[in-house]
This record gives sequence, structure tokens and C-alpha cells, in this order.
Amino acid sequence: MKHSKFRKMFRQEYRFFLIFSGIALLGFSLFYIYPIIRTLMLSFTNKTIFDPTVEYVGLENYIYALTNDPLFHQSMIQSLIFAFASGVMVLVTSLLLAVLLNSKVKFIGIFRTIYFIPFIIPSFAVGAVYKNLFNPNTGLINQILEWFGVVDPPLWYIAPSSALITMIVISSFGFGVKMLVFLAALQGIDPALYEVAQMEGASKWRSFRFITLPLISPMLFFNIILITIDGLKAFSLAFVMGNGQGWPSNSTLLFPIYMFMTAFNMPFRLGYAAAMAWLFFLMILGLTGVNFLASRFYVEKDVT
Amino acid sequence: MMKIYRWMMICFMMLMIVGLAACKTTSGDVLKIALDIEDEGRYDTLFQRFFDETGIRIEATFGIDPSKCIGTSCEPDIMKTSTVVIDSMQGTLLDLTDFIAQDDDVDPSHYVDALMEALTIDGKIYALPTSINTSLLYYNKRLFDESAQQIRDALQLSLEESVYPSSTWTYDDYVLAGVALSKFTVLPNMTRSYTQFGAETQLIWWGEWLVYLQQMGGSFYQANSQNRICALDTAIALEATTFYVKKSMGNASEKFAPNAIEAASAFSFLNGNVAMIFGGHMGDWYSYDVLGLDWDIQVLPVPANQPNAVGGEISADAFGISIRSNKRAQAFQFLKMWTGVAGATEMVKYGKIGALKNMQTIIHDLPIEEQPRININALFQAIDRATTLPREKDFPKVMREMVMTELYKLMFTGRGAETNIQLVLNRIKHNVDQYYIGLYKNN
Repeated sequence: MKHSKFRKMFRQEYRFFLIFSGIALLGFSLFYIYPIIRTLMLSFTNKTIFDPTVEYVGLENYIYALTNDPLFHQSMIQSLIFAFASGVMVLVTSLLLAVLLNSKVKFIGIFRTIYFIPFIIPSFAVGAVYKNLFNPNTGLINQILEWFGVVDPPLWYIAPSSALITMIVISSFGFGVKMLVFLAALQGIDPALYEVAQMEGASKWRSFRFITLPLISPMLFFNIILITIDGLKAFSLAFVMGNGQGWPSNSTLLFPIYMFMTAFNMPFRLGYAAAMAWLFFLMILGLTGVNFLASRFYVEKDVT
Repeated sequence: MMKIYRWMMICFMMLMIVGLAACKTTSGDVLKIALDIEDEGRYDTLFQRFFDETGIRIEATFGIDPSKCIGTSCEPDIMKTSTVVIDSMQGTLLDLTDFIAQDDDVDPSHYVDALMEALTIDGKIYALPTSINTSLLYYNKRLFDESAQQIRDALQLSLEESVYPSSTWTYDDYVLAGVALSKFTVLPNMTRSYTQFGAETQLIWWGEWLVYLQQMGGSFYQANSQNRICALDTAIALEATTFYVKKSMGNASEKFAPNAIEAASAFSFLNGNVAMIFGGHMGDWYSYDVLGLDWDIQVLPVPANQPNAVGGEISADAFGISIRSNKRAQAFQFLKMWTGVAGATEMVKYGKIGALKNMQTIIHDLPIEEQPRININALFQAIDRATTLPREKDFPKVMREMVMTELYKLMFTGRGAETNIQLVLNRIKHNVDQYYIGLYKNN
């Protein structure tokens, strides 16, 4: 009796669940779970793309990356710098703009659209446009700097010393989604709280510090996680700015680019690239863990 | 309801099966070949001819990276490779030596020797070459004509002599003509603002710098080091690199190529504001024509004290048979046509020059409208002098990540720039040597 009831329930309630989630699960298994397991297996081999003979090398790839590959270290450090610096800039810009767009000004919808536009333009196109803007000789940025009397304007992406900074500046315009997340959180705050604060004589800054920030802190935490991961796995902008190879002089060689170059440029070391991917995953996992730990100190648990 | 549901499931399963079957390797007399995206539609006549002769249909994919098809049902029977990547691809390609030995129509000695050597590993031939790429001196005839008087003055030419580059040019002629072709104005702050350059600078690709090094008598690896010890600690390496740097960074009487900053500002042969390319790539011929450039080629200039210097780099696209193909004999039949006279004749129409030694005759026999309208004799002179890249599978990686990245620092002024060429060469040597030590542990 119980068995037939279960079957009936299964047929009625879980049929469509299985059909629709089954397709998604199949896709997830094929395109995520399988590659993850395959990458782990590859990381213990000396597999190259074209060579069908594969040898098991144990932890050799991991040890080589950690002890013997200067570009692994350089790209890892550059990725961390990029993720941190662009993350801070994106976070500050998106919060600032969200606060501004939350105010009661005319044509606010137009402003929201304008600020969101950079996000919907593909990074490849953004990179190409900014390359022209930041061209030291003919770009608009240096021309403006010269109008303001700057005698020796920066070489931006041409010089190895400033190329990464240029990329960080450009990437800070990718605040679209984060800004929307903050905006949604800001719009959920009861205006009465600000009215009470104003009546109590609180300044704008104190209202922001003691009402706005605590109430949007869960979203702040969410954005920090997103920004950290986005920054660490940044690829397309670095690919365009660095001609796909960290140009100039490996200064824009972010870790995903180096991993890509290792796997898909000669001599096509797939096994080694897979090991690097796992080391990278562990690093992201570690940083996310740190973020979670740090969140205890700034995320307000009860925001109702 | 249940019936409809069951029928929907059956239809879905059938669709899946049909879809999967479509991906499976085609059966019957069909051969698959992976070609570049720009080749789409170009060789239909040749494929039809092969079908008429053998009854085997050629199914080509265009722009799909064969490396991504390996191990899948879409894997081609005939695979594109090249003299540069053959070492990496060796494991996926069939040894053609026996096929060639048993076939009277195919003779490896009919192909350019340097290319066949590059495609032969441990005495086994893994691919046959198709279109060649070799370093040449490209020049824009319009820019030469516009600066004819300046070039005549610089090279002390009579009115009867051509101002275009000649096969007897030395580096000195190249520099003098390059400077004469460079146009600039002096700004109030005494800096030069160029509007035209005599030659391009290759900052990412090593094809220019390495040729200077080799033509001056140097080499990248030490002899007898199994290509694992860098040889950039020599006086020749310093001289070659100084020449490479000076042409972009020198004073007004030395500079005739853009530095890194100027190169980012649309100065290029393709844009029609740079008069020459030292090295170049034959794959760009088609683009030059499409853009309507009035261009021609000449053999590379040589150092004055090295009249018999080696030429530039030579490489070739090549095709082999996938080790996983179950139609090896049929694939070899097509490979013969594809890499032979028939294939070479078709490819010439698209600016690709075959790797056959008698290519000059083949081109000469073509109808005049199908012949390349350039100095084709110079190409064959260049091929005779050319040399292949070092046989070392990490060579492109080393050049890309360790050599050009350091040389770049010499090609601009400002923060992060280098001026001490010897110091840069020492650093490259140190990094390259350490790389090979790490890779091979002194073995």
C-alpha cells in the first residue's frame, strides 16, 4: 500500500522535476563534473594535446609549478594584485553609484541605464575601445592630461610598469551587476529609519555608517565574494590588453592567461596546465574561506 | 496523458539517437580534412576532381581546430600540421615512410629539402608539405616611388637604376633607404613626430630579431647542447640585438622603424604608412592584395661582411594522416594530390606557394592571369638560402615568454625601460638556461 502510494506520488510530483532538473543535471555532469574530475586526473600526468602517450607523473606538475616556474609565481601574484585592486575599485564605485542612483533625482532611469551599459558590452570590445583611449600617442586620455599641463603623461599599457595598473583602471568600470545588487539592497531599507536619524540630528555620513552599511552588509558580503572570484578568473580583458600572452613583457600575464597559454600554445602541456588549474582552485577556495571568516566581523546578522 | 508522455519520450530518444549518429564518423567513401576558415570553397574543384578519379568524397571542415577534434568522432583523416609543430603532433600522425616507399608517384626529394628534414623525425616521415612561408623583404612600391629622390641620394643611385630593393642590398643599404623613407617633423620640444617609417618592427614575433642574429653568424642555442643552452652571451648576439634596437630607438640618422609606443599607433605595412617589412609572413599576401597595396618582394638584405649569410626562417604547412584513421590508403591517395602539383596549382590562386622544388616552373606554366604579380624569382632565391627553426619543442614558448618579453624593454623610453642591451641578453640567457635546467634536471 505504502509502496503504491510512493509510486503515485513519484509519478505525480516528481515526474516533471526529474524531466527538467534531469536535463540540467545531465548538462552539469557533462560540462562541469566530468571536466573537473578529468582535470584532476590530467594533473597527475604529462599529457600534451597531440601526444597520445600519457605517463603518470604523480605530484611532479604541482611541485614544478610551486618550486621551478617563475611565470607561475609572477602570474599568480599579478592575479592577486589585479583581483584586490580592481575589486576595491569596483566595490567602492558600485556602492557610491548605487547610493547616488537611489536618490530622488529626475531621469534616474536614464542614469541607471547609462551606468549599466559598460556591463552589457563584451569585455573584448571594451578592451579594444580602451586600448585606443589609453594609447600614449593618440589616445584621448593623454590628450586630456596634456591639456591640463601634464608634461610626461603615462605610457599606460605600453610600458610593463604601468600595463597592469591600466588594466585595473579599465576593469573598475565593470560595476554593473554589483551596483544593481547594492541598489536592490538600498531600496529595501525603510525610509523611516533615515527620518528618525535626521530628527535625532545625525549627519549624512553617520546615517550611512550606522544605518545603510549595516543593513546592506549581507549584500556587501555577497558582492565581495563575487568580485574576488571575478577578479581572480579575469580572462577576456587581459587577453585583449595583452595580445593573449601577457604583453608587454608578461606584465599583464594573469594566471588564467598563463594557464591558457600553457595548455593551448606550444608545447601544449595539458597535464601541467591542469595542475595549475587545481592550484588556482585551491587558492580561490582559500580566499573565499578567508572572506567567509572575515564576514563575521562586518555582516549584520539581523537586518530585519 | 500517459500515452502522450510516452510518445514524447520516444520522440526525444529518437532525436537524440539521430543527433548522435550525425556526429559519428561518416561511413562509406568519404575522407575528412580540417582546413583553415579562409579556405572555405577554395578547393571544391580539387575535391571534385579527386571524387571523379577515385569515387571518394572529401568532406572538409573549416576553421575547426583539429586539436579539439582528436579523440572525437569529428576527427579528420587528414590533419594539418606544420614544420613548427610537427614534434608536438608526432604521436597523432601516421608514419608515411612505407606509403611513400611503395608509391612511385611520391618522391620526398621533390620537396624543398629543409622542409622534408623538418617533417622527418628519427628517419620517419610524418607529413608532406604544402604551402611555404619564408622570410622576405616586403616593400610598398608607392612609398618608394614617392621618396625616389631621397633614396637615390642616400644610396647614390643613378637615374637609370631602380630605387626598389635589389637582391644585392646589404644591411647598410637597408638602413640608408629606411631612413630616407622615414618622414618626421621636429616638435617645439625637439622630439620627432613620425608620419611614415621605412620599416616595421616585430615586437611579439621573433622572426625579425632571430634572422638578424642568424645572418650575422650567431645562433640562439649553443652548438652540441641539444638545444638546451642559450648562446646569447656572444659578441654577435650583442651586435645583432644592437642593430635591431637601433633601428627603432636610434637618432634621426639611424631610426627608421617605430618603437613600441609608435607601433601601437597604427604604423604598419598593412596601413600603408610603413615602407618595408624585414621577415613578414607569406600568409599575409592575400590581405595585401585585398587592401590594394602596391607591393613586391625581394630577398632579405645581408650584412656587408656576410655576403653568403643564411637567409631567414623557412617553414611550411604540412598535412599528414591521423593515426586513428581507418582509411589510410585512401587518405594517402588524397594526400598525394593535395601536396602534389594539382594541389600546389590550386593553392597559388590564393597566394600560397607550394613546397615542391619545381614550383617555379609550375607557376611559370600557369596562365599569366593566375601567376602572382610579384618578383617570384626572389622568393625562390630566398627559399634556397633559408633555414628552419631549431628543433626544440619548447622553442616557441621560450621565445614568446622569455626572449621577446625582455627585448621589448629595449624598445621604448620611460619607466620600466632598459637601455643596457648586454644586461638584457645576459638576463635572457640566465632565464632560458634555468628553464631548461628545471625541465631536464641537467640530463
